[in-house]
Amino acid sequence: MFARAQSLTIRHVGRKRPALQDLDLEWEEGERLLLLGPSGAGKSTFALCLDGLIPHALDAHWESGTLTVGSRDTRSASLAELTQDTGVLFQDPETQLVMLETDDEIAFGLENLGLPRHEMHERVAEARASTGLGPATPRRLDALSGGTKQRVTLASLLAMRPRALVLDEPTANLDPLAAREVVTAFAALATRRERSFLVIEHHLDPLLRFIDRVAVLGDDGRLALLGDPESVFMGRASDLDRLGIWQPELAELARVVGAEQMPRDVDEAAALLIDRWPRGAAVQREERAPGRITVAAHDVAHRYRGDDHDAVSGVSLDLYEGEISAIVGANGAGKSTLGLLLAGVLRPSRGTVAVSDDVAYVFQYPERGFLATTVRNEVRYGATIGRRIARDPDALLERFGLARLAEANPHSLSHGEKRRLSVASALVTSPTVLILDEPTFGQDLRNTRELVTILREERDRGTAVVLITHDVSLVAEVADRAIAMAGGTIGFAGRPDELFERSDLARFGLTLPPVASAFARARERDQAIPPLTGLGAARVALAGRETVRA
Amino acid sequence: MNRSFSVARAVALVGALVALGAFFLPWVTYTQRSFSGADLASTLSPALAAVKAGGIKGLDLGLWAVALAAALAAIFILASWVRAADPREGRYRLWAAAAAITGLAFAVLFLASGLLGGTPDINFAPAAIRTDNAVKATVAKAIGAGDFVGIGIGVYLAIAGFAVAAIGAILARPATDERTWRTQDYVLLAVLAVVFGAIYWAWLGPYLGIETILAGVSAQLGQELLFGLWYVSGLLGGYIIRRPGAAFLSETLAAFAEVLLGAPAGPVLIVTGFMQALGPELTFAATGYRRWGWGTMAVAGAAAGIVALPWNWLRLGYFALDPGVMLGLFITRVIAGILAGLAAKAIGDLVAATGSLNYFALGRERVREV
Amino acid sequence: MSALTRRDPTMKLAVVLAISLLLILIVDPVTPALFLALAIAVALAGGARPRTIARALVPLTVLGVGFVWSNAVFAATQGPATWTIGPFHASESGLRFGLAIAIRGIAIGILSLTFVWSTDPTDLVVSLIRHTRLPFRVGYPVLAAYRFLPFFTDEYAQVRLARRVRGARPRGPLDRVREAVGELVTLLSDATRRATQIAIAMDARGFASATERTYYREARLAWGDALFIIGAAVTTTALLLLSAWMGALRTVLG
Repeated sequence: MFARAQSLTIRHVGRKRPALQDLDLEWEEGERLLLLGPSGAGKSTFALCLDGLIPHALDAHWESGTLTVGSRDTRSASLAELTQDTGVLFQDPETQLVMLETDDEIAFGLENLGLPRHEMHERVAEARASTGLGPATPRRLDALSGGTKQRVTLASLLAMRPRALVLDEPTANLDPLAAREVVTAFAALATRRERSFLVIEHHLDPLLRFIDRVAVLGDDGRLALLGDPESVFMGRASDLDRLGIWQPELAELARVVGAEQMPRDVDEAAALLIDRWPRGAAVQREERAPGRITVAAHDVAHRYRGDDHDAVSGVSLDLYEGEISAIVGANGAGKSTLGLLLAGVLRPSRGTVAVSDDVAYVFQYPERGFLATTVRNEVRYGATIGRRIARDPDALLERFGLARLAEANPHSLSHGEKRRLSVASALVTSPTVLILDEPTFGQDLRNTRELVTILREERDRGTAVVLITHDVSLVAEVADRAIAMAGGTIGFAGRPDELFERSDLARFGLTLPPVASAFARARERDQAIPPLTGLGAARVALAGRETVRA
Repeated sequence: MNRSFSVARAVALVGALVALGAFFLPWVTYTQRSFSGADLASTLSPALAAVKAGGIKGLDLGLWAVALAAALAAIFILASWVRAADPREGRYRLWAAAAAITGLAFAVLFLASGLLGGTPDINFAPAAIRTDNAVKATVAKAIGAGDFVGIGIGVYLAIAGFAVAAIGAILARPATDERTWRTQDYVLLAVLAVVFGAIYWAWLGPYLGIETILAGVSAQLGQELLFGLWYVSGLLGGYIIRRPGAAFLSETLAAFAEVLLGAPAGPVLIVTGFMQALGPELTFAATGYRRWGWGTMAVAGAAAGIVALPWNWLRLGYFALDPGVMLGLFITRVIAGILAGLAAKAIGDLVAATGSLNYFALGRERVREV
Repeated sequence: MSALTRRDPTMKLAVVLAISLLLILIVDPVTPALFLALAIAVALAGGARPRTIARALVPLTVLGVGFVWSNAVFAATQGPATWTIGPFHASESGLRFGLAIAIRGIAIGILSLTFVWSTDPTDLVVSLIRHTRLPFRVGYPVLAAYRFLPFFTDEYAQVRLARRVRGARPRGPLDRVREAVGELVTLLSDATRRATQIAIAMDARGFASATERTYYREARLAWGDALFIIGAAVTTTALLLLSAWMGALRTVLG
């Protein structure tokens, strides 16, 4: 057995409720364990404990219980031993890099271990090989993509030859292509079975092949479920749903078509569809008449001061009332810039944007927009500068689960809470145009669902909603229109299902959502299977309803 | 612990002695002075009588203050060494206070220089050595012929002396801390340094503009007021981390970051940062790193400016300025320093309120559970 | 920037620092001018583009003008007032002194910039740690923080944008100050959170408990460094002698 937690209760500084409560969990040697749970610091807290960072480097209230890693009690073992035994990869590619160049970064841990230089060179080469960082990898870390940065950090951990690796949402901040890079690297390591793995993730489908067991934490920090993937995802799906936890889409698809066996990858899911999908169940698309134009951009270009190329160029786009548009594209394609231009916050270097004056913008990093010192005042901010309040601020707080934090400082909230607060603040004035930048970043199922419901409500009220996002599943689920950008220009504008039929998705930094992938793969063998893109569409098709909003 | 403790005391003692020794150097270059005790004693009354006569006399008084403080510090240190008692909080604080007083003595030095009039004589011609005694002539040649030069070097040595005494006092603090410095403390200071270094670097542009305009009207008074900004990083670092050396590290690292970013003053800026850090570090040491109210911060800010004054005095050539202007400069510096201290506390409190500092000393005192 | 970049950073830093301290003791305008010429020559030899040097000279010159003015007019009067501009009297010796300080500033500025242009930050930190007993616990965090500078500037721009989006428009100077403070607090709040995360990342790879630390990068001193130091000393002495020979050299010592 590699690690064991017994009645572990940990509470963070500044929080009233413990993150982990009476946790009893065993992690076997060589096992690949998946840890799930709703947003809240429980899972990451556990990762920090395994590494020894709690209690040796970070303050926390260790209220009760023990944690034994590699037959050492983490409280009495030395941090040096613990960090050598267990390596942890966190989610933000930026804040894990501490040097300026790639090889320096990979060698960082080895320097701390006091290895002689020739051995460092050996291990660096070894680590690069096992994470696929070939000689073409740029030297300067600044020049690396998000996925490559995560692989460099992974290499840096592997170079220390840990007995176990913990991956704490390693793809949460990455676009789909970058995420795939990291997952591929993980897959290569996991199949070799040289060490124990603990994975914390929301995007589960690519990982299903490489997981031995699943542990689920509840809202209160206690262990709620434990078992092998099949029995947990197929047998206890309603419990997972109740806990508000993401499940693999393919497993849900299997359940929707009435199968009992869980497909472990897209091919198995496609086979399932070919077996079980009722031919003829499809979805009719209804063309809706577009509403009024609220924002019109014509041949817009923008270049930031000091840059040598346009961030956005030659873009013409109209935003309609009562429509949810999703702007997608790889990192650096100009999505955020376009969003700022549409909001009228940035003035274009060329071209014109006719903006509505009633725009609300929710930033990717919500704390940048915080202006007040309490949550309540933050939501009410619109009123203090004379804007009309159209929704009850306190009701919004209630709805987003922030009511008990009304007097807290906005910056002291957890990431998910901050995001919900910024959305609430944006909704309070019921704006004509609502633009959200990465609203589902790292959010759990419950919050995402709530957000989706609210977005649909706003759309029905006539708001023009714009989502800037990487989350292809979200796009498939909720967007009426998809706009794909590459290199600062619009490469595609049309219905999401049309976007997913394209073969050049990689150009936009996108991959197909798992369900769409499964349908597409099935279609290759049997044309009668409809090109559905998401679970929502699949359910609707099976229920026999004929129309879906286009 | 015991060994480093006696090292600290030795260091502090050496520092105090150097400060004492430095006192005598300027006298070497004065005309008609000698080393004999009788002469020194007799110079006391003439010095007092000749207070209004102008010349370097005002400086004499200031220098007496330095000597007195240095002597006090040396006595304290010797006494406790002889007693060989265990290190106790109060005693170490006294040493630090003594060192701090020494620093404040410089305030007297320059105040006296300004108030009591007279202009330092600047000799641009290869100087005639103004001593008649052959022995003194050799020493004077070595050190210099201009009056104010001796004072300048004496000032430097005194700074070095009290700095060393202060470091000794700081080192003397027994490690009864609940925690030692953690990586996050170092990283926080580094991050603060980079942020402030960048702010200072960006601020340099408008500052240059304002300064050039103001220089026309008020010499370097405007510059002095703006200098206050540069003290904030050290004050804030010390306020957040609350450990010996935090203010010092914070300010010096900010200067280092500025240099890396291409500040025109060059690596000498690091020395300036060092000097600007001493004042706050001393003040915090004198309070035993316990008191963090508005008063302490205001004093720390003022100390930043005052203690850095001798360095700036030499580097920016203030010795060439009219004493009346010097006085104005000094007062502006104190005001700027006080404002800097208050601003640092205000900013620190605001950031702590966001909960980001929960893992650091400042945050722990005001954690609000959520 | 080849030969200069290969020199050990600590040696380069020491040379620049030494020359800077030396120049502080010099009070005539001619000697610093000689050093300024040297500085520009070194910069060009080291590979800096003339346009970059020219652009760097602008703020330095502006700063210098201020010094010249205040020393010319506000110095303790040494001699007769040579010129009268309105209510201000300027003296020649004050003017010379002001010029000296101004040119000195420019010379030091160029030297310092050349140092920055020709030095890799990682090499600098490792070199300092190996040669000057800089604690690695101080050095490496500075390197990590340095990498984040572009993020902070980006963040700052975003924070300003965000405020505009929310509709915050400052009216009057008091509002501006409040806004600036708010922006600073947000920036610092974010910076401290990042600091904690960076520290976690470092400790997770054994930084805190590193006792016998080794270094991936070499920081060995080569013959070239000795030559560099000797060359610098020789050139400096030569310039001082030249200035003395020209009769122009004046130091604080007379």
